[in-house]
Amino acid sequence: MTELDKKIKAFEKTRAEAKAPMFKKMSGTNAGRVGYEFLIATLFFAGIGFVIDMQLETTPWVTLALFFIGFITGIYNAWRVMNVDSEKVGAKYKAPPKSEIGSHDITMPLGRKRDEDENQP
Amino acid sequence: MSSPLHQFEIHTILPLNVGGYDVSLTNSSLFMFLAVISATIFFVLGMQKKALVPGRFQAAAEMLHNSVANIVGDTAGEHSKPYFPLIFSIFIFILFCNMLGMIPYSFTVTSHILVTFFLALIVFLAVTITGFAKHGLHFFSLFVPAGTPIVMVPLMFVLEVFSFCVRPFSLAIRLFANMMAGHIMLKVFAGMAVMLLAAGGATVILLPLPVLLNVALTGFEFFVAGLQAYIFSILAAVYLHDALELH
Repeated sequence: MTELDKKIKAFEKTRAEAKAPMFKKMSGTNAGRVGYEFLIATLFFAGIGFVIDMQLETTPWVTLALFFIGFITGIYNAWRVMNVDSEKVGAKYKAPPKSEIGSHDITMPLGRKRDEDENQP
Repeated sequence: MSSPLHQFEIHTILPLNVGGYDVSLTNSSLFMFLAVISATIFFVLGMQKKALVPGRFQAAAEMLHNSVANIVGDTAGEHSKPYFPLIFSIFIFILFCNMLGMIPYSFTVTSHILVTFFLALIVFLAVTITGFAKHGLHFFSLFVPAGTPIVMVPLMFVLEVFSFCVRPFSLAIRLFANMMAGHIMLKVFAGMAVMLLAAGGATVILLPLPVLLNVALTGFEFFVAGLQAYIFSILAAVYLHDALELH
């Protein structure tokens, strides 16, 4: 019996793996964030570089350097949103239990199964 | 006709000077007060009856509370309960500011980047302080993702620190840009309708176009007002998750 259980579990696992989507499921909140996070990181670093350049009068070297750093950070942030944050936002949502009554076993009068009982008018 | 940016101007209502600092009551701070007062009234009235079967008011208050509780619980993890009041307050404040801003002739507090930046800064500081208080120096392990090869650790650390520092700005700019762009659009299309009307003659035939578009945009802006408050709080919860669980 235990061996059968193991086999069933193993089968269910392979079936779940086969059914799993190729890409991680992304909620709408995250999908909209991908491009935005990239843009903000790039602009933020370029902006800081621009301010430093204005102060030190080294235009455009610090801006360029920080732009590249921002670009890399932006790509990394977009990757993060797609891979790391997707597991946090929305993915953990569990459907609420159907109802208090439905989730408990109700003892039925002898000789009648619940399923049959529900089908009766 | 006034410029579409006219609605964002801040003017003093009650001049006040304390110790050399200008702490005048402006239209911005007035609407912040109004948001706080209306939120307080909404929840106090809503929860006054404490009925087992909620009325309309109570159902609305409970629904807001439960949806934010779900966001925080699902996103920030099981240890997030003490931080629920913080995220809930921020959510309600942004929601009420956004919604008050949808009333004609009112002022949208969240369309100013300084306001949204300090809201984001609250979240950023809360996350950082929580992380250090809970994990001490171990908090820095957040900046090295699990399974990083040793060679890559310095690079990943720098990238993660950069990514961490950009967060308050990305939070602030998202809210501010969405609110400001939406309100400018409303004003631009309303102005277009007025101009068509003023031009007279056959152009009046085109008048329904901007007016209908403005009706649609108003509905959309209500959606954005709620959505941005939701996104702000869900991202605050994501960042909180990092500080609490480290990955």
